[in-house]
Amino acid sequence: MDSSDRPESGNSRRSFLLSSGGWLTGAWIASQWPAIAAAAHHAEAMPADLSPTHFQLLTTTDAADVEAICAQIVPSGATPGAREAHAVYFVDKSLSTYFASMAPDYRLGLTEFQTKFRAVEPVKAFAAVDASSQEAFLKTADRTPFFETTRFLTVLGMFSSPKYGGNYQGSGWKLMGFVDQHAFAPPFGYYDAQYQGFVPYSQEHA
Amino acid sequence: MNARKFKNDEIVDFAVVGSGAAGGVIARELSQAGFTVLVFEQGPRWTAADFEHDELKYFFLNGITNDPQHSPQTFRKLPSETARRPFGSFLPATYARIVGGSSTHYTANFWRFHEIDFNERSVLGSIPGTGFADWPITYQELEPYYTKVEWEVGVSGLAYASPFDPPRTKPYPMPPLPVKSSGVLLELGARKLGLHPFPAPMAIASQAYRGRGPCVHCGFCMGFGCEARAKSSALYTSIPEAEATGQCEIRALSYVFRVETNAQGRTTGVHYFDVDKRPHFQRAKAVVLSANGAETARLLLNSTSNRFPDGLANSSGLVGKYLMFNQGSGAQGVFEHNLNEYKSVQVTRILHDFYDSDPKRGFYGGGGIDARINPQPALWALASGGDLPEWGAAFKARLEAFPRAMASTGHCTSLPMAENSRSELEGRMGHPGHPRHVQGSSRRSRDGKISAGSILRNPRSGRRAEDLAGCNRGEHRGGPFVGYGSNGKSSDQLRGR
Repeated sequence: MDSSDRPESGNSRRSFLLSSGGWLTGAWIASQWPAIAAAAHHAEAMPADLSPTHFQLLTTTDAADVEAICAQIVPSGATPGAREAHAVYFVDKSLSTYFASMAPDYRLGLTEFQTKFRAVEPVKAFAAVDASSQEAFLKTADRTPFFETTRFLTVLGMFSSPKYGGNYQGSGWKLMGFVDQHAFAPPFGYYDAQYQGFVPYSQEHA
Repeated sequence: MNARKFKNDEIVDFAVVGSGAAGGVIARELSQAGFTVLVFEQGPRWTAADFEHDELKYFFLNGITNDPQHSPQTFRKLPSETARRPFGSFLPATYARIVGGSSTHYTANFWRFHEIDFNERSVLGSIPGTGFADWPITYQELEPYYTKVEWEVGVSGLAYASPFDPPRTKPYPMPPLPVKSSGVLLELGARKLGLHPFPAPMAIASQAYRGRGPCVHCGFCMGFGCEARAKSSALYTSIPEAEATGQCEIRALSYVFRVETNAQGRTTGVHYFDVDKRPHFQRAKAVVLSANGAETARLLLNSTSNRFPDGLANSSGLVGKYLMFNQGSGAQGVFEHNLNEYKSVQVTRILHDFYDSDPKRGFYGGGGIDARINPQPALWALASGGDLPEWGAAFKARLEAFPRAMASTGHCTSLPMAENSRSELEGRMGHPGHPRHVQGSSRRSRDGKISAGSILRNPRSGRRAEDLAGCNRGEHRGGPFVGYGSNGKSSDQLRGR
């Protein structure tokens, strides 16, 4: 592989997002999203029923830490959070399949995260400390590629189709008020229900 | 359907490369005129039943777009830089890789160009350092074809509603699609400012049209294929009509990599790879290239011979130069009540008050502003920048605001710059896995930026919408987005908007 073939990685997600500002047409963001490693087309091969029985990539200890981070990103409460959406299973499955190229860096990042946490709390794992301690530590670690990848995968794990292993029973969509339905009829929302109809402009503008 | 099948040694009248908006129309016109036509498409052929509501697949796994893994590209901003493969799924030239081309996944905004688009150079004068030029045709010459396309493809809209619309000989064949809350809010806010919003012309059926049913308002247009056949893409319009003549074959999963010419300089056919990457040669009397701004140029540059050492149609040396960017600016706002923008088509109201260049603005260009859906759930959640919360309780509150949010996009013009180009790194013939090179300049500060944020207002208070997230900073930095206009226009070489 010559140098021109090697993906560049210097462009951080953050600087990209700040520079791109609010031009948030979905397809455009997607086509630019630098946090995604090139993905293979394993999605279709995924089984329809993904009941979370075991992890493919993460150890149980690692999974507990990752799940705790996911749950800090989208906390549980009156509405479902990352835990209820089974986001950690999506993290595990995606890194084992279509995002496999991200897995080596992710594991390194997780190990580094755990090492740093041990320097703060030598006895307990991240998952074992209380939520406010987790939050306090994450505030010192939320600018790392590992955290940003975890956030990226948590979001996809909460809001992608449940067939990918997260968004359990559509809980992520429920949180966002998104209804997965194949047909709708007007009125679609509050403001169009009030609409009086289009009034033509007078000819003097023509 | 009695679609033809041609053998490689059969001499077809026309080999058409690319099955998108242009290739589909060419195929239909030629086959209806009695010619034999073979259309090559590098992507697969899908039907309405193959499309699905799957954000991950379409936006993050290159479901129907060119995939950097199989079709890598390199990019640099300046000639002095080393071109590299961009990280991740970013591609400098993104397009739909499927029968129907980018018209399959477009948003289906379908406004006409205005008269000024054709003679802007004469009106504004030259701009140093650019290839700014008039078109060789006028709007008046093109008008009958706009009308023909609107009626044959199927466009919903309200003719004469915009005071800035160019003259037309016929109204739209279908009434506008039902307005959404985003459209209502744009209309209210813009009218309050003395602007002229109007129902967006969309190539989506608002009622049954030419054998297709109306839109079911599922909300998955932009970036997705239509599951209801209501989106007027080549896949559902020109292509089946071409096949119905019995004179046309669509050869999917077939990647043309070279146009062959003989000693007289006439074409004899095209070389292509099949799905197993085996090379074939298809004989043809004539070849039509309609493979978007990046791939068409690539084919011409790759088709070198003793007679054409710089590639085909390139005596000027300009093939692959002056790639046009798709510029945009945008804003998002969160309102008091639910808009539920995830329902129905992406755009229902636009305005063209800032369409023309205005020297008073201090930069070249203008464009249209639309009210549109905010992104699908995952994209909404991933948006960041500015002071947007990215995790924790505040982030969750932002997620919960999703049904109350809308976006507005300015579709801006850009200038043709010689250094915005695509070319080959190596002279070697392109294998599907061979990197292609795109170069884009960062020197575009003069190009138009129009802001949308100040129009989004709460209708009752007249105050600006809260949470105008990261608005008005938008400039398309990454590179040219060929065939992937946010408004879905697949006319790649036309000015990006």
